[in-house]
Amino acid sequence: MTKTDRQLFLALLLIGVFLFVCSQFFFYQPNPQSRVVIKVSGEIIQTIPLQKGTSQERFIVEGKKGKAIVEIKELKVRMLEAPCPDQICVNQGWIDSPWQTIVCVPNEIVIYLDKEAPVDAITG
Amino acid sequence: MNKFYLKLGVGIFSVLLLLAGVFFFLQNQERQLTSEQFLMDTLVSISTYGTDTDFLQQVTEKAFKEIRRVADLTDRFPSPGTIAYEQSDVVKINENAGISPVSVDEDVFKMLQIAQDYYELTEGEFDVTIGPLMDLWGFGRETQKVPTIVEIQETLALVDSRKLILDEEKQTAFLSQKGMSLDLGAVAKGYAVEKAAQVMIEAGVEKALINAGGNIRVIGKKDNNNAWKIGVQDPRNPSNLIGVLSLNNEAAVTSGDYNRIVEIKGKSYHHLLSARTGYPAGKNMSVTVVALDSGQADLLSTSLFLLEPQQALELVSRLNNVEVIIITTDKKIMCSPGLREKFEYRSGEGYSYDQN
Amino acid sequence: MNKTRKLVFFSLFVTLATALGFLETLLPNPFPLPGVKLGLANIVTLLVLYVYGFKEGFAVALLRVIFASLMAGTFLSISFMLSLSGAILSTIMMGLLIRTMSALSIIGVSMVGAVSHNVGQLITASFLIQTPYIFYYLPVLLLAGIPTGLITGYIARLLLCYLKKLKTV
Repeated sequence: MTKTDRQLFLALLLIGVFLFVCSQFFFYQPNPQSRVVIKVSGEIIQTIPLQKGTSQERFIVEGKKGKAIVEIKELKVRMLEAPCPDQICVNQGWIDSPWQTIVCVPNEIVIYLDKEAPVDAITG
Repeated sequence: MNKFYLKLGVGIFSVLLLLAGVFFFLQNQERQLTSEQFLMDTLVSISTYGTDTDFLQQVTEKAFKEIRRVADLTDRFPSPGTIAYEQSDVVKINENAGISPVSVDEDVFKMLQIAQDYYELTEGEFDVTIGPLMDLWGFGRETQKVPTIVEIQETLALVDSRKLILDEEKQTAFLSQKGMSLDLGAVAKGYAVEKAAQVMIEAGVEKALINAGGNIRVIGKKDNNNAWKIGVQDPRNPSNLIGVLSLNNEAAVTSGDYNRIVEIKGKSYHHLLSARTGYPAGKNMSVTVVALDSGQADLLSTSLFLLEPQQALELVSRLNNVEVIIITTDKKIMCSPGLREKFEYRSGEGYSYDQN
Repeated sequence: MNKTRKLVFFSLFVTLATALGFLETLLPNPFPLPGVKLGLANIVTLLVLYVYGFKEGFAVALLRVIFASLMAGTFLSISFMLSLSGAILSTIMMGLLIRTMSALSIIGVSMVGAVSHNVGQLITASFLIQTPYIFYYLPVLLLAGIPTGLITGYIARLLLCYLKKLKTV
């Protein structure tokens, strides 16, 4: 390792830590997320409102390679079963924050939480 | 040495390039301009988007001017002696009821023509000559009272769109019976908003949102990937949205039984009166119409509100580029087939959303 | 260098890179995060960049992604796009550094390669997921790239001593 290597190492580390700290602030959200969004191949196929006190609910999602099962409990969601070789999505477990995303690449399924989209205007 | 200068040169060049890029980026950043004015008894807000704020400012002013022009033409109760009084075609027509035809502005004539069409389509439930009935209940006046059946029957004799005579050639309007009067409340706001939208589109605006107290007209898309999100209010809970519409280049107008209500002896009455019975229509809580033209959407939302839900859906199915969301008094939410993809139902206390 | 000889070695490198990339998918992922991998195939790309040059390195990276995806049956799928964007960005970054910063050793270059590989994947993933929250992973993936880049960089340095001879023979 040369001197420049070490400088680069430090620089990357600092940038990484700096961005990490920034992102913690940037993505900090005091309000709980209110819905689960499930996308397949880039298209939203289902949004499910989240509510405190709801018991476990399971949804079947048709992915590229077959049926996956998504489980929702109170304010969190997880991939219960998915027909993919690596099982990364299943092993990820529960997610409960907006920046967490479950991605099952072989099935092209993306699951994340967000707030209900703010509206531009209200008619009434 | 040579190499050093080369490196220095490349360094300076890249910094300049970066600065130029940042400058260019900031120059072409999309900006939003929002202005608000109180017009037509409501708060009208116009939001425009573009890179040139001066241009947006000018266009917004033009649009407001157009709304004010239509507002003046259709005002029913301007104080005598004011400019608005002089300019109101509706006042002229009403004052000349049973006397003589009045030549009117092109836009007023158009509004009356559309109103006549909807009189036919709703089989007389919607009637633009509802003025005397509105006055009897006291809408737009200081005092309100519940009329007696006899009073209503007497007044209904003065409500009849067949006695509104429009002469297309001379562009005149004539109420053939004394005591009749027009009320363009169900069309003027939507029409004005549409005129304003057209002014903006002609000027070259590609992205804008006009909101005249819930009468909404969007121009263009919100951005490349997303439509404008328009919330539909829960009729029984103003802080809740029953659902969200995704609209591009369209208008959405809602008529609800919770708007413009009067309370008489502890009971509340809304202003959407049936021209057949003379009483506030009672089948629906709210009707939201999505159409390409805001004027049409406004008129239709009132007209459809007066009809039975099934009748309303049937009428919509016969019209092109018109969709509707109906919330009935028994809290059923119905949606015309073409709108199901654009309407995302959320939730609300006690409602049931009928997907079919 | 002899043309045929170069072709043989070049093909061997592509095969090796493909095999290593495939091997890695078979091993359990040592990192609990989605998208973080050791990047064994990157070792080969790095070596080719040093031994032959940018053009060849780029070709190896490209071919390895294509062959690996053909083997796994994921050609033109989203996972293919993800690896492709990662491979392209990291190869370009590494090639640039080798050419312009001689003070940097193969380990430093490897670190940048690993980091930019992760960033490239993330950029493509952001199109797939279309939520700004995806960039929450940016610092995480950036930091994760540092140790993986170090490890692959050390391995590459070990191998480079032997491969240097390739050029002269």
